[in-house]
Amino acid sequence: MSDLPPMLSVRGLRVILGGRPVLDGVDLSVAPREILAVVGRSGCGKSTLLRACIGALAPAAGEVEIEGRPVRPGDGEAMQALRRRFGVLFQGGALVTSLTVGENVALPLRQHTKLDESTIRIVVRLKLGLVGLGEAERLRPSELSGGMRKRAALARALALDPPLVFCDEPSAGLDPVAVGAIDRLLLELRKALGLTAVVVTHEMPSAFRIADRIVMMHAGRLIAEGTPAEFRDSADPRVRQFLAGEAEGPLEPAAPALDVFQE
Amino acid sequence: MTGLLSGAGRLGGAAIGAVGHAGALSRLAVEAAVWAATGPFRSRALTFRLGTEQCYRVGVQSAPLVMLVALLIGAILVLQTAVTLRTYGQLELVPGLVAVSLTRELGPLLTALILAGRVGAAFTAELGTMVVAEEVLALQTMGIRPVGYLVAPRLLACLAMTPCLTLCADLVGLAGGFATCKLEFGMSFGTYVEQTRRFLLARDLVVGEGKSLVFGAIIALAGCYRALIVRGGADEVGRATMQSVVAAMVSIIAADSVFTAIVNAWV
Repeated sequence: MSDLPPMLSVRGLRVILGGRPVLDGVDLSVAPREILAVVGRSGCGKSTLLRACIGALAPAAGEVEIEGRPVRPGDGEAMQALRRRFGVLFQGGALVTSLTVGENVALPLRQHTKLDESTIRIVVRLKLGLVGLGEAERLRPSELSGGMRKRAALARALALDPPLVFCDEPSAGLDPVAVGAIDRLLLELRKALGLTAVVVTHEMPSAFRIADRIVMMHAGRLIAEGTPAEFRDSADPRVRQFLAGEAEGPLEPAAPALDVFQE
Repeated sequence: MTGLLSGAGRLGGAAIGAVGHAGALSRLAVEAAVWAATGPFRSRALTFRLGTEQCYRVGVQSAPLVMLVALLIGAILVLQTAVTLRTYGQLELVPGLVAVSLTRELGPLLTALILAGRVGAAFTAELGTMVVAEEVLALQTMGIRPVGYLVAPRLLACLAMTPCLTLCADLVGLAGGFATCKLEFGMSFGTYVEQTRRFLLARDLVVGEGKSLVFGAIIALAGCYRALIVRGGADEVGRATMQSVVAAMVSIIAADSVFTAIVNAWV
């Protein structure tokens, strides 16, 4: 896996939002067909890292490359071409609610290809079949359950057969069974399509199930990296605290208790 | 002294913010106009579909409300003016007064204010929710420009439908005026039409339609711009909706004053 040139490469990435560094010198490399889980506490910079990787945020320093091509925020021709090479599964699915599920999946096909309508319909059915939503083509996103919405969003992310997919909290708001179904789907897609995935999550059971490698972020930096097994056995107190879900520990001073409790 | 300085600082900050918004709004207006003009050449089917969908929502769905208000305004105008004019034996002037007031001023203005409340609010609420739910970011990630996909069809629909609705309001207002003249004062249809034609000039209609075009652009741009800069959650969308409606209404009345002053000076 590591002999191949990286699918995603992040070097010295620094992002400043509201005058505060949210990412502070992040270096990361993801090999083709690898599933990387990015974990960490809420507000540690995981989603910002994802947004910088997809060109939705301009970094103050550093660079991001997908298949060796630089990611630049904006709508230049090179960036438009690069957008065909990755898909994004947003936290809430981010399906356009005024369109049907089928029309949502057709959006990137209509934008980036010159396929005729009948071919687009066939591709849409194929993609929805891939995520087990063959019957949902004519439904509106509001008629879907949380898990179905995520799967429909994944079908849209995969519409152009990108080799790389970014997933922002795919398990957020789902019950454990639906989380398991999404995880299995990602693994099956990797096996069937050779997909590379960067999954931002704070659900450790999910990360352990799907990831080849896990990186942990804290205060805008990567603080730990390893395979799921290495993570489980890590002696790093920060990793131990995160896995155990303890309020007290080295990750961050615990938030002060409310005055009413102190009194 | 410190209070004065901090007040001046806040005023300066607000002024800088206003200039920033004005610049961003101007850029959005230019970009949306370019997309609206070039859309049919990029994708005729998509432009037609998005455009007709918005025209239906802006025009057809607003028509009953606009016509109801216009009918009542026509009737009120007759009732308010006839009392005074009858005292001077000038009842036959009522149709002309109603026609000129409606076509020049009340038709375009009331239609625009109704649309600002109904359509402008819907634009901000819908697009603002899309921003908050990351739908707009998802479109951008797919290489779809939100201005072309979301703003341009709404701008086109408002530009096309506001003058149509204004014309509807004028006609229904005149009908309301006639019905009141007939029922209240027994005026015949022939007299009403004759008196209306005596005072109503084609120029009044053209000026009214011209105004409504400007008002349409204000409604679309105010509604969409405020939505696209929403940050936060549902409460922010609610606040943005309220602000966009207020901004659109104030801008419409301000534009009306400027428009009227220019037309009066020019003609």
